[in-house]
Amino acid sequence: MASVLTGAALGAGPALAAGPQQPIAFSHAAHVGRRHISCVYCHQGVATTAHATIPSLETCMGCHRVVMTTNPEVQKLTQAYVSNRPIRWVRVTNLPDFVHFTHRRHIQAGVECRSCHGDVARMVQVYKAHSLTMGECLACHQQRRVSTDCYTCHF
Amino acid sequence: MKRRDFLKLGGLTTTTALMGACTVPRVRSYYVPYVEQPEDALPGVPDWYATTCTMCEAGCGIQARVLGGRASKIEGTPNNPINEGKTCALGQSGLQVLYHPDRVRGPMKRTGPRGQAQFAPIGWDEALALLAAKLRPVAATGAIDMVTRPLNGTLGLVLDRFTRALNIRGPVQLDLTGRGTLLKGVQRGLGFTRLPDYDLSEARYVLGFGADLFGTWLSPVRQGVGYGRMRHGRPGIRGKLVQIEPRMSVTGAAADRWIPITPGTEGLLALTLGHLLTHSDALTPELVAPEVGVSARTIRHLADELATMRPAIALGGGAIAAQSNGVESLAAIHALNQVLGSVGVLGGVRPSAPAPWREFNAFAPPSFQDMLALVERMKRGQVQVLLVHQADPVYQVPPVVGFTGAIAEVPFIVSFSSFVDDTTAYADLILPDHTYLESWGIVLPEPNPGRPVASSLQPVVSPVFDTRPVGDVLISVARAIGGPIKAALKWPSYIDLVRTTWASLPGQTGESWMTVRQSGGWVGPALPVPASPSRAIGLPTTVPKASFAGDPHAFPFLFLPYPSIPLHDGRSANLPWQQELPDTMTTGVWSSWLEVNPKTAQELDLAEGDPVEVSSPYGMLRVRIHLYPGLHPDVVAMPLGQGHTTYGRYAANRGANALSLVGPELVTGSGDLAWASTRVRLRKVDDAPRFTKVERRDWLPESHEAPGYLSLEDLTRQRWPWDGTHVTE
Repeated sequence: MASVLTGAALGAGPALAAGPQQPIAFSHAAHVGRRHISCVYCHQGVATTAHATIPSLETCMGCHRVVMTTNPEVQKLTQAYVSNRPIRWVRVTNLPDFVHFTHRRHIQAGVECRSCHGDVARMVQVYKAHSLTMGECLACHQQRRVSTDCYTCHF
Repeated sequence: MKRRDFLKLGGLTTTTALMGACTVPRVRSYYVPYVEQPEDALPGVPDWYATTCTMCEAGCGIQARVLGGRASKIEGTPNNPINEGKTCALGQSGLQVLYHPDRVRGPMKRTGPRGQAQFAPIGWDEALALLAAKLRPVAATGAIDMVTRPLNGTLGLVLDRFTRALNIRGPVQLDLTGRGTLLKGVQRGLGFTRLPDYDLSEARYVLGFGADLFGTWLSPVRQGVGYGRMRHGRPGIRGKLVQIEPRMSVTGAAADRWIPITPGTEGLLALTLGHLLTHSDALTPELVAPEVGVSARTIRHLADELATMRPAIALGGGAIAAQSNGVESLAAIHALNQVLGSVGVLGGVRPSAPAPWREFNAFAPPSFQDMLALVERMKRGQVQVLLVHQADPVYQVPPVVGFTGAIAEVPFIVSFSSFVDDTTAYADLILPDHTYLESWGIVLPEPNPGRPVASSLQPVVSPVFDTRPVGDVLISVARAIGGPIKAALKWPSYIDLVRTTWASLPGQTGESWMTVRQSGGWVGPALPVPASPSRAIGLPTTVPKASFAGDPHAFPFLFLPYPSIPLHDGRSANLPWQQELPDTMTTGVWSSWLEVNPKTAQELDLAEGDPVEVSSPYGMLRVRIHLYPGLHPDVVAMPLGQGHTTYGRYAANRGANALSLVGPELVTGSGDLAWASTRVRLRKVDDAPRFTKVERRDWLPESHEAPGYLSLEDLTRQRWPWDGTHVTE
């Protein structure tokens, strides 16, 4: 509940502005917005695989061994890392069933992350910024004049 | 906002899942990233690891798709000379061995009475100390025995060396596939010293005797690939397959012609064909026709075809190798290839290449005589410790042999099984081995295409449970015991044996093991086929009659058990995918059945699904019958594989074990178990375990609870089986 209030208080967006509470209150606003860390630094697979990929705890610890070690949320991370226990992040961005989406192709075509994921740099708690329904996909595909064949995505 | 506020005010504790209304999925899903990501692992991108299938003895090359450290699919390795990228259903279900809910998860000690399968977990240190303590006193007396599957490759070497160092005899190899008989048969018929390999892909004509080429026999995937090419791999040429067997197998169904024959007379028929082809009239079709049950006209026609369609192959196996005259029959069948000039030619038969290492060619062939001797020794109290590895003698040895009774005399039984099978239920100690998908090793497939093939085994995933490779267990125990056994197993570890074995191959080094296992193995140069095996080896002069146990008047039917395609000899009965896989010819699943010719059934007043009691001089079982037209009227057939008492939740107490009717008769000259040489009688009874089949052309009043399918006729007449108004015709 607290997270909902935070989201609302910061005025991070319209009605969609609250994603699910995560096991660690990781803030994209802090990492991307304030520290200007590139998306690919953590989401390493985005240009090479179908998935953007969630970073391993080791990636987090690369900085947080020394950065903000007294922060209680960072301590949660350290604790998980030390005890070799993975974090169960709650999935935020989901697509309708029966569609195959690959990040790799979209990144290679120069689609920006924000066009689907919204202004992550301002999100304290990530939420789904776009509905990502078939209509939305098609609108973009038509606008960019790329394939709208059924089997492009439904295979 | 309004909706969220409403939920908030409502004070519902479950709101987390609904928060944000339409934005968050109602069913939560999670991302669970690595704590430390392996360097070469890309989430969402699978790794493929090449290894070797050991589900049967064929040794196909497989590769496992591994995602996030979990094996998710098995496929054939494309460049493998054995299976050329293909797999069978049994190979596919290897994943269910790996992730089986009934796997033994660590070493265990018996807590209840023997056979009750009550165990308590113990630590590896304690378990190994216990094993060493039990073995140390018998190291000098030789009162130890091991039962295992046919020995092969590096694992076979460790098992053989270990057992031999303790008892000189070596392990007892339990094998119902009749490889020993086939080997002896081709030795006599063709002069081969290794198993034959048939070049089906280039053959014009194949005459098969009883060998279920595309089911379970020898190397079914390899034979299937060859058959595909034989049929439609050469433009304008379509090879012809004729299958001669008393029961139509899936191979008989695929053949151009299926010819039923009186069981045990296959060798005689082959001999007659040989005489026709060599224009000798010592044995005429008219003379043998009544005995073999094939018309003289058909026999002459077969000889004509053999004479005109070259290259032609004659091959045989299966139930023939499990009859008293198996060696002579297979010798006569294979000798036909010499008459046809098919030895060592394209589209003919050639011997498999021996292993590139001498020590791997030295294993004795499996023999059931060893098993009978072992039972004798156990009865006399001469076995103090019995080790069981990848064999289930309590299930696979016919009960009349008395294995189960005899192991009561063995003070200490150790099982290395991954599952509590029927034998492991009697074990005092379980030291679970890794499954093959977690193991290292070198496997030497035979038959192979006349070139030495060494297939590598590597773990595709980290061990799922607290198991240890049996090779390492034996090496460490040998070290603890010391003396000659320590010298016999001199390697520091099992993987070290694999590596040094590899490095000893000409042109290979310890490093090349790294690269070779990426491709799944090594293939040597083609060996020259031994010059036409001396003229002295020609057609045998006679083939003795097969003898069958049981008085023909009291037991009017020949009993033909056959290895089931999904379950083989019962080894895969614990895998639900295999249980669920409909038998190709009957569509039977999850159950046992007895196949009876419809005419015979009519004479006995039996209908589809009727429960019968089948008795032989050795045993009795209850089963429901299936009317099977593709069967000799004097033969009743039953698939092997069901009737386990333990072996996990999917196999236990399901159907009946066909081997419980089989006697201890041996194949003359090879010592294999003659499991197809028993006579039986049938008697209608009130009840028997359920028989379920996927396809039903008739209604079984006894099994309405089984999955029901409506026939079109029933549907149009609105006759519903469940309202009780339907009358079976």
